[in-house]
Amino acid sequence: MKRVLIVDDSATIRQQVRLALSQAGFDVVEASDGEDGVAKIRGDASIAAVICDVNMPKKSGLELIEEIKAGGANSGVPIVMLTTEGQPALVQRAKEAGAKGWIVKPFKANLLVAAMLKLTA
Amino acid sequence: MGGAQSKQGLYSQPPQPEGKALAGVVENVLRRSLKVAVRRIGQLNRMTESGALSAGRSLEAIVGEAQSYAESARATLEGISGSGNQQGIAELIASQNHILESFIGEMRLQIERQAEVARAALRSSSQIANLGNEIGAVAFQSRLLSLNASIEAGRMGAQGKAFGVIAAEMTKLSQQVESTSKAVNELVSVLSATLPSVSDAAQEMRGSSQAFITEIGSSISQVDQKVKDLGHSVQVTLRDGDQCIARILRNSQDALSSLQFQDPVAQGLVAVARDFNHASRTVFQLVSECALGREAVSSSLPESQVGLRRTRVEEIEHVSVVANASQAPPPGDVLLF
Repeated sequence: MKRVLIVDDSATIRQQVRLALSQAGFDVVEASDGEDGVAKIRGDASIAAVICDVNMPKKSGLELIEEIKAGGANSGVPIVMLTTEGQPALVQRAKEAGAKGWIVKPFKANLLVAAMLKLTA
Repeated sequence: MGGAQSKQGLYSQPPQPEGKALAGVVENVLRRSLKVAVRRIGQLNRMTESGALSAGRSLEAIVGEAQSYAESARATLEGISGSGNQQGIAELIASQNHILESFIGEMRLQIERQAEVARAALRSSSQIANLGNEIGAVAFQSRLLSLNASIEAGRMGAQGKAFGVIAAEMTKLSQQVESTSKAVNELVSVLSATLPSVSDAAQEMRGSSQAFITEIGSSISQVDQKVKDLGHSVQVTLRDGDQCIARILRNSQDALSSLQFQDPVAQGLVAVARDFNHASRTVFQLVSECALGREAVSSSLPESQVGLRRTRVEEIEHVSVVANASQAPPPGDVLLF
């Protein structure tokens, strides 16, 4: 069972991502802010993919990617941004930082599942 | 230009006591209104979040129950139809039918053999009877011969005495042969009388077994057909169950997508609080400027503690920019790099 981390300060979004992915056979762990997200990625080598909000308390999603991709444990894990943001500059920055994808909320559960299946294959 | 001069003239007027009081009243009203509005917005936010989470949990429970039921039904149906290396009831019945057919075939063969043995025994008993009759005839001839020999021995006197003893023994022997032949004939008669009934019984059994075999064969065919029908029904039920679960999952995913209204609602409410705060500050600033002059603005309303996450406000600003620029990717679409 592939493990996916959802990093979002919205409890409803975390719940909805967890429901969508768990129904498709994923094991989902949650983090409620950027710092918690970094700690969980570093501390759990079994995490196969990360879904991350952009605007979060303590550490933004872009800061999270930059920190993870700078090196260290689990730096190769694929990270997909899930956000209400859509600015091309932000998308480009995330891509350059090492993000593997960008999803604008509200997400479609089937497409999210398909993306996770592809990234964790 | 004239308006600017008039405003400059207003600013140059010395602060009036009535104006200060008015500013104080306005400040109090705005503070109270802001506090109430922020509290209500916070309540609304918590309420929508609680509702969305509750609906999500219900959805999770519904899907979980449906999946659990489907797994249970699948296990039950696979118990009937079998799966992998495990034989199901249908396969067991088919296997038993095969065993029964083999047994019936063997039984039919044995009955045929029994009937053939009875027929052969009847033929043999007839031949034995003929042989017995021939032996009886020989014994009779022997007895006549020994009688003649006794007569001739008597006629010879002392010289024929030994010959007379032999003739007497031959008479006894022929009598014994006759007696034995008679006993054999009686046994053969009994056997001949019995064997036809054995043969008839075998024939009757063959007829009965044929009827039984036909009946059992028909029954087996019916059971076999029923088993095939059952297997087909099980497959259809399993397929329908899988399709039903797939529909439930698809609908639950749609519902999940719909439930995401809460996130933008929360952000919108925070934006409303922020806008209201901004409007209050503007109104107070204008009233202060009008009533007290430009210098009095420093006592304007402080930034309201809306009690909501600042990051949400930032998100609203970002969304607003994107919406104006019309550059946001379609919501829900996945862009993989």
